[in-house]
Amino acid sequence: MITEATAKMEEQEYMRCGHMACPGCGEATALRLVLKVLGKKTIMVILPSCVGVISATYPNSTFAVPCFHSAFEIAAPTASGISAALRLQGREDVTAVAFAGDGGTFDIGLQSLSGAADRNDNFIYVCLDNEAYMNTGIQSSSSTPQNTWTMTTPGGRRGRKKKFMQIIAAHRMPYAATASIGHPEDLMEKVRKAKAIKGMKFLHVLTPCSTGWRMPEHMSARAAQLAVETRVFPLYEVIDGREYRITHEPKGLPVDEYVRIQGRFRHFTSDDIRRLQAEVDEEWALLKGLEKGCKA
Amino acid sequence: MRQLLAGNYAVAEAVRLARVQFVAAYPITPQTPIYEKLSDMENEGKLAGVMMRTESEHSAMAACVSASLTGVRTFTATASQGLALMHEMLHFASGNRVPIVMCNVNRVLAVPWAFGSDQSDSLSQRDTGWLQFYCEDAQEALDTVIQAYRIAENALLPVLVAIDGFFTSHFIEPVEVPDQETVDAYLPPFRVPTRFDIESPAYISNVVNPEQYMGYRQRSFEDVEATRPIIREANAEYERIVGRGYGVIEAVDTEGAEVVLVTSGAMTGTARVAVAAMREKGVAAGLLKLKALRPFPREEVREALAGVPKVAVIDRDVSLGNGGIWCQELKSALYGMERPPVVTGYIAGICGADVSPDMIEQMALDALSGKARLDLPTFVRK
Amino acid sequence: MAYRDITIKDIEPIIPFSRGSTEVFLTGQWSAGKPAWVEKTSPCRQGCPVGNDIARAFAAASKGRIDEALAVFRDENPLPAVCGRVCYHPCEAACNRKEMDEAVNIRGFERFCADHGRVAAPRPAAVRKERVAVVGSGPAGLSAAYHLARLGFRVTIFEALPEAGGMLMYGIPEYRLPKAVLRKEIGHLARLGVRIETGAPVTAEGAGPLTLGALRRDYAAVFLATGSHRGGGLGVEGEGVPGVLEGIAFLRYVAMHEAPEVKGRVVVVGGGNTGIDCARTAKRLGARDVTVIDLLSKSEMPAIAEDLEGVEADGIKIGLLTAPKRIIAEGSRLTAIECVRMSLGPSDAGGRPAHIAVAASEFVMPVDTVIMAVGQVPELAFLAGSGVAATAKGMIGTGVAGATAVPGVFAGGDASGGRAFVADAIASGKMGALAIYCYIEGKDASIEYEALRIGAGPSFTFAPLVNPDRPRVDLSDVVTYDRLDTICVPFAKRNDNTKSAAGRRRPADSFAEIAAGLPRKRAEAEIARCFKCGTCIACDLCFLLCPDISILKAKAGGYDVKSDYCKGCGVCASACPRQVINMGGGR
Repeated sequence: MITEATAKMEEQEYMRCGHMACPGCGEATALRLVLKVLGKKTIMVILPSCVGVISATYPNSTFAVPCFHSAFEIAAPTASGISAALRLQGREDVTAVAFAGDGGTFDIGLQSLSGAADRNDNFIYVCLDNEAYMNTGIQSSSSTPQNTWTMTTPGGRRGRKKKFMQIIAAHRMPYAATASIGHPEDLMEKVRKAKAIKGMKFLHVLTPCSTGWRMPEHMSARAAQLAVETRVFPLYEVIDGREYRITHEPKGLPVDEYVRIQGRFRHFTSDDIRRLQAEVDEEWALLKGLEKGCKA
Repeated sequence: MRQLLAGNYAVAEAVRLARVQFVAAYPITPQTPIYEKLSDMENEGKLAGVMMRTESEHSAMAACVSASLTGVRTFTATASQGLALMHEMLHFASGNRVPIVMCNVNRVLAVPWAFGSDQSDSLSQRDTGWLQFYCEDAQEALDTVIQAYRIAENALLPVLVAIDGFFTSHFIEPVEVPDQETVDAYLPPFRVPTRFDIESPAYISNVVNPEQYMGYRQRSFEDVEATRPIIREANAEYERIVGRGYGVIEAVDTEGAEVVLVTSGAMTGTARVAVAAMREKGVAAGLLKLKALRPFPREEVREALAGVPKVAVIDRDVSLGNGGIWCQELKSALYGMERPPVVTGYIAGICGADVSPDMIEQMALDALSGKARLDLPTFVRK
Repeated sequence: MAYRDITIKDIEPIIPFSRGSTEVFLTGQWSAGKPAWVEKTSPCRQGCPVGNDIARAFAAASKGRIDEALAVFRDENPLPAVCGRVCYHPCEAACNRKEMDEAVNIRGFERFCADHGRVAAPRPAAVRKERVAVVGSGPAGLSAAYHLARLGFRVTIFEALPEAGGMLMYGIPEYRLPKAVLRKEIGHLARLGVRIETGAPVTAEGAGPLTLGALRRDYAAVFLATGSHRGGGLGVEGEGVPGVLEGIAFLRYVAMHEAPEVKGRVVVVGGGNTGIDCARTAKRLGARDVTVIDLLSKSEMPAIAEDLEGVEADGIKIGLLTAPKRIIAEGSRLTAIECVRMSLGPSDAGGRPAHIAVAASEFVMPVDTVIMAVGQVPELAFLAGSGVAATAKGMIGTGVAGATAVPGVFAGGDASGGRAFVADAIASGKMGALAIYCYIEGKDASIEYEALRIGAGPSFTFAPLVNPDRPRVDLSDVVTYDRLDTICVPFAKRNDNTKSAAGRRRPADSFAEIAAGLPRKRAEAEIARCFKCGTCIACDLCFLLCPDISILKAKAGGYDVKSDYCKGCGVCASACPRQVINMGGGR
């Protein structure tokens, strides 16, 4: 059911119809909901990525807020520069927000993100994670889960998905959280919280890609829901890098339900699934421990 | 007020006087004293704005671009490896048409690793769309940085001000530092409008088609050409208000010269001494100092070298495959002249290797001799 | 040349500066598929004999609108306070939630709505000139009268007994269905203009003023719902002795506060609903020792499980696979009952096992009262000479939709051999109302029924006829569990009704109601557990999840699609937890 905060949200949308996202695009949903919460006084930074395509070519724009097309690895310092200038201009009621994909966050943008986090610059960084370089045609990134098929890992990726929130926690930002388009109220509430905090805020949003995950178009929301309810992608917040709060108690559905709806996992054997379940269970136990530990 | 300042500190004073609002930087020898001095100024409340200590030069330029787009006066400084790392962002800045001013403290590029003065770093960025000015000493550095803001903000193009690593950056010289009131009369507060207007939102710098891209490129090309009068005016106004001016070139004793030496940066100081000595000895030598690399002062150079039979260009840099960069630029500017001078190229002072007045004299005489190599530059070192 | 004053107009031509809107691109052309919001039928509704729109009732309750939830029940069922207490809840057997964890406590919810909601003032129907008579005020008769009144007919019910309610009043004991609750429920019919004449039996021609013939003369149609009240005997030696009571009569006397003395040892023969009710009533009247015997085995027992649980809680012994052989008396004083053990023999074609007496297994139980509860049949003497025939089994003979052999005379409920549960009797009365409506309108009842049928039936709804501003629902499309997106619905334990204080006391010593209704917090939790299959509750999930911002919230509630931009991805349909959205265009 919608919360009171959502019911009171402006009817105004800050993303326009007619954009070129694939039908069923998870990123498009995330962009829309984030902007809807942030509202008119927002300056957004986007990169070459799926969002670059979604945002439209000259002379059109998908967004009803000022937007800047920056370069691949500099989502964070671009937003840093904007927020510093806004402060100098006395325009601190305007929110700077940067959108980057998993490639632009986990890989090529990691260094500059780390720098901005170190400086605690005042903006919201939103990582739209579809677990590969999708815009350029499904190539693996360090966000791609182990054993996943991509065009550059046709035999399955050897590496494991980086535990990115741990990296973020290590930077001690005032606020960081995971979110999923399958749980829109939770996502919007986290955007609201982020907007009200000064300093750097990081949102790691799981945005399934039907094209790259090899699913029918209509499955992106369900895949996101399953990722959360199977505990593959738990929803939680990290405050100041030390306080962990799980914001949604997942049902603990078996990971098999998440795996079998995606073509990129089609080659998984029952051993692979068992291994994945064990890993998910272990990570969940670790997270619960972190949540408990911070209450000491 | 007259002070004894190293070139780096002169640049820092200029940044303060220009009321720069946003500085993003990363330390690299021999730029670090600029960064540190500005940090001191920020700490003492003497800077009009804020410092952002980034984790790389690439990010420093990225932050300058976006801060500038948002609507504040920005500055950064770097050298060598740092400038090279910024390369993508240099194109990005000029393409975004932002009036950033950057000071590059010329230093050799690795590999091999070394830390001496060398102009390859900034010269090899000549195609990135930045205006570039090369300074001979600390005074010129201070004055050029201030002028650069007026030029940049009129043209909406970024400006690189180059000073020689160590020879200018670290040598202490007497520098006339103008007072704030004087500089304010020359350079008003930043008033380029923000490109992020909440009331009238737009998406800037998005993807275009090939014909559109070419259109923007051509427009930028024309706008760079249109900076020539802007640069002249900026200098004339500076001369009028502050009392000093430079010009995109400086011709010394070129009237009736048999050979003209062409230099840039700190080496010009040594060349002045060599030319005076040669005149003493009866050699009709002259000197052409090149201050602007972009836009290249084509007309001014042709005028200065009209009727001069021999020209010796000294490059403290080399572009593998085609010789010294200043030499190439000069030759292409002279192309089509009636009775152009014979131009010989010399590579000297790479990595700050010593270049004495004697060595310069030798280069001039070699050019005069008619036996100098014309197809390739001549490397000159002790 | 002065320092140049730059405006945004100087900047716009030199870098890409985009103010155009992507709305120039009509991405709706990418696909023919577009969503349509079509409410569907929940399996609980299909399973309910009465056709209660259960999902819609839960939907209203989930917004705090209990009165509206009650009104939704009352669209189909005049007796939700009754069914919420005694129904055998086939809805819960069909509930989709049981595929996830446990079925929803639908019966408890119905009772909650009936106990806490206010009955709305009846909507004035277009009053028709025809008058209809209903004979018998049990659940079938009340239901027929209710639905006929809602269709605009003027209805009079003729009831032989002093009060209305039939088996509800005289068969179901107070501790299961308090009479105050029943009277209040029946009272609502008067607000619809239904008249109930009690103490007015219909007799055979010549035997009194009120006959079927007279009714046929004065009314456009007659519905016979006289129930099944004559209890059968045991067919054993000695059963005529005083102290051997007939079960239905026993319960009736208790309901009328004319209870005979029941002390000492009691044996109830027959473990059906009637037998159980007799046993528990006897206990409450002071019987020291009560035993129920039945020749069936446990798995064959028809009584619903919670009643059996109540029997054990009351300290009543049960002897299954036991049959009475002989009543033993000393003179005219009942002293004992001889029984014999049974065993199960081979099953017949219908799968029912044979019951064979075990040789030499006879035993004698001393007893002060024997209550016979071995089944009942209708009393049809009043139909003598009417032309309405009885079947071989002693039921009123009916054809399609309850029509008897006499035109204009219809029958239903226990009297015509319907399933002996309250919900089925109500459904039967509703069918009778439909049959009479069609008879008077000159319509074909079978055809009308088809249009109103819920899913595969047998229930149906009058909604299109009496409540046209209810939203359009696809009655034929029953939403199965696999079509719902329940991924994000958390597991939650079912909230069962609690026992009242009286219900918790051991031994049972009063007729106070045993079951307490759901307390508010538990009711709210149960309301949250219902998925509301097929009914849109305006949760906004489709609206929020659309990647193309192509779903609009319509002014009147509900949603619309922007066909110019919708790419037909189907995320909305796929994510709807209630499967309300149909994707058109062959998706």
